[in-house]
Amino acid sequence: MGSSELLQQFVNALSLGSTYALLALGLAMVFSVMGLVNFAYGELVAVTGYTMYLLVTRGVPWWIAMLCGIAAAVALSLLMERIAFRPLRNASFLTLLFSSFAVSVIIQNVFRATVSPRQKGVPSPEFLSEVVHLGPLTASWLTVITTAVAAASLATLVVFLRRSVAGVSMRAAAEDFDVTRLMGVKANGVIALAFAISGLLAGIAGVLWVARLGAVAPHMGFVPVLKAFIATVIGGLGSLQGAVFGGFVLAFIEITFHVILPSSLQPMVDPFALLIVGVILYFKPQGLLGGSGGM
Amino acid sequence: MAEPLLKVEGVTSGYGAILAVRDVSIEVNTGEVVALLGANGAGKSTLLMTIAGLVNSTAGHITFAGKKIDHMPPERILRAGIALTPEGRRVFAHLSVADNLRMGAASRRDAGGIAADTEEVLELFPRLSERYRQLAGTLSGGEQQMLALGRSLMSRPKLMLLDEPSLGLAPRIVAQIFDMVQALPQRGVTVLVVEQNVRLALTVASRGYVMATGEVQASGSSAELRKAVDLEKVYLGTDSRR
Repeated sequence: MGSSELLQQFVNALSLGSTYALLALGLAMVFSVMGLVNFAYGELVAVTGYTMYLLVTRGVPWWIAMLCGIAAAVALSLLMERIAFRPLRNASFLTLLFSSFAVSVIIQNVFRATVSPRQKGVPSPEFLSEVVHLGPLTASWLTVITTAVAAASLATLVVFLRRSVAGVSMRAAAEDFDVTRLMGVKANGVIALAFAISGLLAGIAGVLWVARLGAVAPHMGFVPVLKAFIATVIGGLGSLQGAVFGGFVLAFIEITFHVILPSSLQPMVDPFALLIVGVILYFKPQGLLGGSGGM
Repeated sequence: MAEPLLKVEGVTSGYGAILAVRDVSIEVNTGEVVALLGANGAGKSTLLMTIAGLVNSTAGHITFAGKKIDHMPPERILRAGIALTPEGRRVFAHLSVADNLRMGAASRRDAGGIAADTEEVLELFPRLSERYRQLAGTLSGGEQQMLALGRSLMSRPKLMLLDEPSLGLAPRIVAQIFDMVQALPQRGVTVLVVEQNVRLALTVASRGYVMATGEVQASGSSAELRKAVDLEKVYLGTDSRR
């Protein structure tokens, strides 16, 4: 394989990786503060998609539909926290986990009942599929924008977590929730903020996801939350840097198998990728950056 | 005689079935440094955590500056003016010294006041100034204790609850820290300090309570407590533990 093809795939991996990193970070945000792996997280991506579907098919301009989709994800995330998780604040890990499964199923059925059990197409702006040439590389506008948006989101989040009092409070809460409360920081506020950021990241990732897939379906949240979960586990559960790193590692593994495997074996990309993930975890059960849980 | 700043009346609290604090009543007056003495497991830490709101009391009342604070969440108790410096320091290891101090001021909105107080804390503890941008987890035990105290000071508390500030620290650092503790009332901060090191505690405190198995067994001025022979019976080993 030529070097330009290699470079091309590298760019693809960066684009995929940045989407996975966004998704993983949103999931890790809530886990780091609450110890909850929110399996209804995928539905935040789905609600972004469905909001966009409902608006775009009614003639609303794409960029407005996009912003509404992101707002819907944030709103749903906060709603989930308030209704499903806050009453269970001190429950066991398993109770919270099952609760998140329940929320996930309920939301999926709402999509089935109110829109359709079947897949629905979501047209995206045509320019996104147009190709742009950057030197030896060729990429669709969608790929370029995905990488740029993800990078910008991550950078903004890092600045927020490092500089603002709210951000520092979140990092403190992830490390020691009780002592953070001793500083006068409201527990509910920190958790709500974590869910809001989680929703925001899921919304942004959701927009990029729907633009790529071109369609929404009731179970569409499954793949995003699965990728997010695998990425956070690879990077180290509880570490925000780990989530981002894990996202890129997962993307690189997937693209590698996509390139290596012949077309007849393409459906095996995911299983092989998971095999590698298993190997990584065998040698580093805490994840590649895990163990410290820092940010 | 003015109303005590802190009044703990008949408080019982613990962890599930284990009652670590049983029917305890103590008082702290404004401007005092009061010591809470006793062996490991006597319930001293639990009492501080109950006052700070981290542990729920199942009986009794706690009044601070005339307001009832039992069953208030820790966030509100801090905002009412009580700062707990927990046992074992519990600084945010993955945050810098600077961010730890910022967290101490998390309840405040006055940027100017926060900046001024940060300067003061750094003057009080020059070591923290040197390590300002370092991660708190890389600090020595003594420096972490200073950071924990500085962090508590950042909230401009009226009452500071200190849980075993000398634990695991070298004598020289301990002396430094206790010098600072002794000067706290001059800064307008009243202190309730839990200590296993009796001699040390009684040099800075004017009064003390002795707890054993969750109850207050004795109380009095430092002079009285120093003379009491029973102290030896109440707990085993003091300075020799370090």
